[in-house]
Amino acid sequence: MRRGTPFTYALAVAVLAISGLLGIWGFRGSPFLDTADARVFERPDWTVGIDTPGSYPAYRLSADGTAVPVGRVVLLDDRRVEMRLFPDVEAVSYDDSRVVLLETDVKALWALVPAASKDEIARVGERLVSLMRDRFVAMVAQPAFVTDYREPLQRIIEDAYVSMWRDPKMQLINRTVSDMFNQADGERLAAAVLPIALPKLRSAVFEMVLPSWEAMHDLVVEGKLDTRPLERAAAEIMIDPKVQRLMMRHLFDIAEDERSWRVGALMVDAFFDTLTADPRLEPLVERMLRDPRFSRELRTLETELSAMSMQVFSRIVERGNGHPDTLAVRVIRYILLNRRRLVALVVKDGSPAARELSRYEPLVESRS
Amino acid sequence: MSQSKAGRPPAGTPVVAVEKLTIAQPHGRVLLHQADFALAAGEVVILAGPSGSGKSTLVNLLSGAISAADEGWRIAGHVTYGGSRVDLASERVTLGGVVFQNFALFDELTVGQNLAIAAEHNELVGPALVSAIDGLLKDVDRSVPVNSCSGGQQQRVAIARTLLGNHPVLFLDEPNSGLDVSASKRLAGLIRSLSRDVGVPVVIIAHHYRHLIDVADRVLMLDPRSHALVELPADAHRLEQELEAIEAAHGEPVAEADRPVAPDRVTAKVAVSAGPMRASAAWRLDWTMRFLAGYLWELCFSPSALLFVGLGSVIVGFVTTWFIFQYLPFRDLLLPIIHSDALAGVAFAELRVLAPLTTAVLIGTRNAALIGADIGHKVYSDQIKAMRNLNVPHDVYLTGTILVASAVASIVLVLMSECLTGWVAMATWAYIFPDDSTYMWRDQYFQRLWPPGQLLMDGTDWIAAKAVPSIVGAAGIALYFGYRAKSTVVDINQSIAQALIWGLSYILIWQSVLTLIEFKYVSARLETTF
Repeated sequence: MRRGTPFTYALAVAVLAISGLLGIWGFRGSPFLDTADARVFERPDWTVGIDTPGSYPAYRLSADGTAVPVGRVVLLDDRRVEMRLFPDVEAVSYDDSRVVLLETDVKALWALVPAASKDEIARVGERLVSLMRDRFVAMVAQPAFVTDYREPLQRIIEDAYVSMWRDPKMQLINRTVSDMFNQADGERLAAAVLPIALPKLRSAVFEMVLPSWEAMHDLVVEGKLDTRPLERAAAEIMIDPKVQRLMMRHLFDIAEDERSWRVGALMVDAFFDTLTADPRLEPLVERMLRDPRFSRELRTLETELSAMSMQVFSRIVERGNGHPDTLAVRVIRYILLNRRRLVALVVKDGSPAARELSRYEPLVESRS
Repeated sequence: MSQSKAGRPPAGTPVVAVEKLTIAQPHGRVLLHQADFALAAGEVVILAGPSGSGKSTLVNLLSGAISAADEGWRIAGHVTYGGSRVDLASERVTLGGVVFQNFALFDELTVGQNLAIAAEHNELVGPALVSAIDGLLKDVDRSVPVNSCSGGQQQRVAIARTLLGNHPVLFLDEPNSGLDVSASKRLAGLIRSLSRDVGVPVVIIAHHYRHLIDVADRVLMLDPRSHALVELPADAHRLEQELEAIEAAHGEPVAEADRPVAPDRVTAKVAVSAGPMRASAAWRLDWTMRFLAGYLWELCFSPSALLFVGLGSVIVGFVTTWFIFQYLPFRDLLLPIIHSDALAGVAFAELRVLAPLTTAVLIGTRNAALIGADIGHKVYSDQIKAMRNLNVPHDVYLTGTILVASAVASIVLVLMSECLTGWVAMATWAYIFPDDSTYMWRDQYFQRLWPPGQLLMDGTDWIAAKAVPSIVGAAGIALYFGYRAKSTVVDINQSIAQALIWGLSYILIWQSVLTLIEFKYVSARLETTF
């Protein structure tokens, strides 16, 4: 048991004091910086019930859409949230910026994707539709499909379609779709599509109704009308690249409407419930997928789909610097984990990000 | 029994009587059989005998170092002192104060503190004894460390300290060993006058009895042939003849029999008798705090301890942060994806696992070495025996304070390590990502470990559960090896090595087991915060 000297005692005290100060600096922040800029906002009603973990990260979106962490948003109580900015980040002027709160869901993920990336995704979507159509046509055009699969598959789908529309739920869906179409400026879409579609339809109608002995016989004696010209015209309209582009844009607009996801899900559910309930479907599809006569088409489709899904994923996740965005990754993670979490965004008015996030209500500063 | 003014019986009055004393060693060898002897106030007696005949054993028995309760020893007989009669077969006696051959002074204390610790743990001594002690130490500065005194001064301090123990008998073990002729003669005169002045019988164990026998009143010789204690006149020539006769008849003495009894075999199973015998050692707060302060400094606050922890923390904080963020495979691609989780993971690894582990390993082993050396030295230099003999509770002042100081060290130094590790991790991260906010680092680093508004970091209980028992346990292991019997300096070195090996093994096992259990509990909780 040795004793120290005044110097060693002083040294020990100094080392302990410095360690303590460094610990405070490390754990709580620099003692030389002002405390964090904090501002209290009214808490949106839809966030009530999301209380875990009680505070969430806040980001600022840069010009290229990259999210930069700037602080935390803390749920103070059922009525108030507090935005706390890190003391060492660039000051935020709330006069020309707004704070929005997002739930980490698919909608938020899509809203965060910059406009340029959305255009690219639209282009990938167009290519995807075209690819699927080509592969489908290639398969359907094969004699093997016509002889072995066409009729049974057609019967199954027709039966499922008829059964689905008999479901009372579909009446509600019908009304919702109609509303959405109107709200998503469907008339403008129609106006854009009509100049392309009308010449084709007009010639088809002429062809259909031109008098011919055969046609007259079918109409008067058999009560039939030859609709094949009209079907051909409709198919030509749908494969027209201009129409496809317009439709794709319109689809994105509809996709941003929350109801579209619900309606889509309901329709898909209803259709697939009916379809899969049909005991004829599974053995037929299985047989088709294992049919070596379709293997080339299926393999091509698989490869292309894989490449395109990667492209879509990259566009959703990557930002201007070509690296994955931390916020997008965070949102995806919570979606995959099925956890309800929030993020706050500080968005500068008039920025591209502000336009993309215009559907979100900005937080209102609390007066209490 | 009449008493002198000083509270001591007049010279020549019988003070202690030992009847029918039989001592047999654990191996069955009989040292004494049915021996009787008495000691009178103020007399000087030479206890002689060939090596291994049992002189030290007899002193150990009468000073309380061994008793019939110690494993293997067979002891019988009675001791009478001051009207009390003690059965040696069932009770331990601490009749004699021992001045050890190597003095056994408490070397971390000053001269005055060596005297004070003896005085304050025993009954007050009379003015005659105080006066004798003052005379004994008139040229000794009591404020200096006892180590700084000369050999002769240290011997007188040791005698004075033993006198302050207020024992009825004073045993001097080889007091003139290593002294030249004149010093030996001066010592003999000193013992003679001291014995007369304080009226205490003095028993001297001596191989070199030439100058001591001149001041002795009589000689008691242990005869291994008859296992008897033979009384001889104080005549050097006669004693020499007797010893030569014994050696001629008995051959080489058994060296082991003369060794002191191992402290770890001396247990307190037998009650220390009351009255004229010793009361049980009572600890005092001031002395406890004094020893505690010393060990706190040594084991916790000394610069070398702080340096160990500081360097360990810097290495942990830097290496883990630097290598994870600089050498991550596909860094550019993966970093934005895993950055937040990586920081949370690094925080867990650094603050919950590595900082406590590193501190426990560094401080546990450092302190184990220090404790092993300190206690080993105290055992080897008979300081532990001296503490027992002086009624100083070493289990409180040494064992207790070392364990408390180790516990304090584990808390203070782990806290320091957490502080430094956290800061170094932050500084390293800030160096790698100079454009990012260190508050963002803090936000993500502590996201699962220290939620905002929470007083303590999550898992503080786990950190304490890992660190405190590690460091205190390693100290306990070092104490165990330190207290084992030491007959050479090599034994001290071996006890240090064993304390290091077993202490470190224990720390690693404890930390591994607890960390595995911690992971089991934590992984379930982390799921909910992920």
